[in-house]
Amino acid sequence: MMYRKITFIVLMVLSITPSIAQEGRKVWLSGSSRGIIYADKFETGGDVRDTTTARKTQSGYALVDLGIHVQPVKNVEIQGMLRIRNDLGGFWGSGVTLDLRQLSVKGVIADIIRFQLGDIDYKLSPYTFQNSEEWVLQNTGPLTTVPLDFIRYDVFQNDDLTWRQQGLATDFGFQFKKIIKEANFSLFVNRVQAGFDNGGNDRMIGGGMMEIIPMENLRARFHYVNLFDIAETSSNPVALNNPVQTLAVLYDKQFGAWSGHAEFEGGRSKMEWLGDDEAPVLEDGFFDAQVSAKHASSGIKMSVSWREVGSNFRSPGAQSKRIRFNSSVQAYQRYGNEQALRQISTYDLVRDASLYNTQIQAGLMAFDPRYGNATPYGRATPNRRGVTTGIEWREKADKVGLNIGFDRLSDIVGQGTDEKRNFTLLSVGGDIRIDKYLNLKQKLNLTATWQSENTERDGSEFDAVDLSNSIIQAGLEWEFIPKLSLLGELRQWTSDGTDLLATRDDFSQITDYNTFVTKTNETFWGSGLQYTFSEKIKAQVFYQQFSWEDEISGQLPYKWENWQINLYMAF
Amino acid sequence: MRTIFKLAVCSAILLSSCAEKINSEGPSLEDFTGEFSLVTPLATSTSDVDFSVGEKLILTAEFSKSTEWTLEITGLSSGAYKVISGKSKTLDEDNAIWNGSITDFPMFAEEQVTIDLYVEEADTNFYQSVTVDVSGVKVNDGFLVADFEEGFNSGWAVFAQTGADMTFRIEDVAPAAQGAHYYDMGGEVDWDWLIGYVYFPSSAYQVSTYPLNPNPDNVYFNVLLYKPEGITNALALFQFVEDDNLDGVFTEASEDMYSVEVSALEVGWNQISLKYADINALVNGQPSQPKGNGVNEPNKLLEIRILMLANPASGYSQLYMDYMIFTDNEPLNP
Repeated sequence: MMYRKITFIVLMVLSITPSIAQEGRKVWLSGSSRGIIYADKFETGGDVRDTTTARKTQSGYALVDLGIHVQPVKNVEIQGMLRIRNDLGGFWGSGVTLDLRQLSVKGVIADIIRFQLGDIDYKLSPYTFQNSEEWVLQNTGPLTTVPLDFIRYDVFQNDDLTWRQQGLATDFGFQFKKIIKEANFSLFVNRVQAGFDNGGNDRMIGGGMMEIIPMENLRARFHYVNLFDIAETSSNPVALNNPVQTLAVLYDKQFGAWSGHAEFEGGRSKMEWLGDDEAPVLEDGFFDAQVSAKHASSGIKMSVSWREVGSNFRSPGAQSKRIRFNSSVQAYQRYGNEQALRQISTYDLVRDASLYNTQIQAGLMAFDPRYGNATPYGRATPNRRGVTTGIEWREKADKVGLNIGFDRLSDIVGQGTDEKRNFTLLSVGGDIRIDKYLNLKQKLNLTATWQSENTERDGSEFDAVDLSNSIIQAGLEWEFIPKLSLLGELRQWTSDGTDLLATRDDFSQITDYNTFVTKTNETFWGSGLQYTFSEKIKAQVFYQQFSWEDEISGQLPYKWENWQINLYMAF
Repeated sequence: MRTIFKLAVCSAILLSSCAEKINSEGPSLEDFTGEFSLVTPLATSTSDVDFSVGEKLILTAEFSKSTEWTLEITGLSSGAYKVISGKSKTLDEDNAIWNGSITDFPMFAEEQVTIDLYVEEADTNFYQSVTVDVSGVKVNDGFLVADFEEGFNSGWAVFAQTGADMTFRIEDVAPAAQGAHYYDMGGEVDWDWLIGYVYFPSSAYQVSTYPLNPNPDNVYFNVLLYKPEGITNALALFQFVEDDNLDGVFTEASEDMYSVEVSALEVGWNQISLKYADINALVNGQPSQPKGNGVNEPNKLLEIRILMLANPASGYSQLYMDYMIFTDNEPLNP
């Protein structure tokens, strides 16, 4: 039945498209498609043979995202996208799913007010509304980037750090002849959660930005975002109210060959639970001042910033994480004869879309100190003070690039003690286009990255903590025959040491501490072939091997081999 | 323009400078570290508690550090059992309060109970015990259909087939889930699925229909069923007969009857709690269209029927039944 319904929809769309297109570009299609097949082999380590876990599994799927754009009048566009997916083994329609992936209407009213209704991508500043990147995923290689990009596309986590939400957004601006040049406004409101009886109320997030441009190189922006419950939409008498307001000033200036940029943002938040007399009211503020400079001819970019974010600063639109670290992995969820729950690993993070969060969350989400302890909530991580610096250099002909980052942060207030933790982050990365040095016709690119993060706190044997995370990654992309490339990647992730992990209640207040001890070693390597039909159409065959061990947790080590075939295209 | 710039920066600094100046957040680490010891022994707010009038028992103790603790409360006569656990430095009214409820059946009776405190630290297994008298048991709000403590209501109707070892009667020997009595439904009938039934008409309570909230989402039907060891074939069918036209009579062809089959029971007492709105009409065990107005209307409930069934080829079957009660807004919390 499902199969026939899908066939009908596809035929209907294909049949109407040419006829309407002839009348002018009023209906058109876009979309993408991919097919993936996995062949996994899982081996549990340890002294006792694992006779319970299936060693080999085959899985995969094929899917098509079919976007239909309709432009009924000049300034209005309706976009709908259907996803048809068939899991491996789902013959004759039995495994087929048909979902509405997105639906939106956008347009311009009177050539002045732009609006978007439905599924919208929206972003403000890093402290108000931004889907910040996870530290653990900042540098991925040629092989791990491919499945990670699939996940990001699937869960709408875009490179521009927007949040995909359902609601309404509009922006408009005015130009003036005196005093100020421009005033721009952007407003949005999204529904985060539907109310349900005996549960929570309807939860919305809304706000916007007012930008004043007094002169060409100076901008002042006022942001306001509020995550709030609409009272009486359920039987729950308690309603969350979490407004955040910030003021930002951006200034650009040219100093000879250097382009300078200064940016300052400061603001405050308030988080309260109306209707609950015993709930706390969390109020706090932050400021962030940064200066950067770019030298056009040499390709050098430098930046330095200082920030201070209060321990009770709560900004859900900025602090909600991309990854839900308290969820369980899908593949080989349990293993060993005891069928222990397998922990999230870096390999799962580039393969398992179910681990990803797509919604704004109130309070502070769970995080795993192994995969980012210094800034688990991005730049808006509460209770942090310190400096962030960075230098980037890219050779003019794009032959070589280099970047170095250094952060030195600390707690503003101690957790359960007057002693503060210090966080040191260092990253060094680079890439070199050997083909350009050797005048080869085809691409030969090498990349390498080293990231390290250290957490330490002095004090007595009960206060002191010391946790180090580091990753080394190297990648190769060599087009040895026109359109046919060899890809290779090596990653090693280590996490070693101790921290005291705070347990928080429903009001995101610390109630307890758990000792977190780890000595984890994760190694990934793989290689494969990629055939590039065009920039939008590629076919790949990868072999990958991942091994995991933690000498302290008591979890069994394991090795995970994988053959993977991908074919994807966009149109 | 510089003035605007300065004003904007000053405003932003003012906005951000509202942080409360504190040295640390969260409970002190000192409360979570160091050697464990008992600072204040386990004590109770009273030595005699009457839960029937709303009294609660508060347990108190203090440790040298925050630790994981367990309180086990056991009825010396009934064997009723309640567990309260947590992690804290003190036991007090916020985390160690008992309202007479249970964790495992049976329910507490008017009896003496022991309260055992267990603490398991890395190198310490601590134990302390106190006793308290319960002079009144917890009262559960709702409409009590049957607890069998006052004998067999003359308004109820019972039928048992003439099979072997038939036991459709009230028992006063262990194991009652509540009080001292329960209803025993057992027997072997090798020619019919029906072993026997008990009907609970509203007229037994001197009302035309059960006095329940009309909103089926707010009404829960609760009953306790006991499966004896070795019984694998027991099947209880609960039928809820509604008087849609309020004429005092159930007309099978034109009025609603909703049903639930209960079979997958654990050995021992099981609590069955059903939201009235979730109960469907059944034909041969399969959901079907109700024959009346098709609306679950608790306030028109005319009769509850409990049919004890078993496959005639499967031999002897038996279930015990106790404490049938309708509760408002939530399942029974015994």
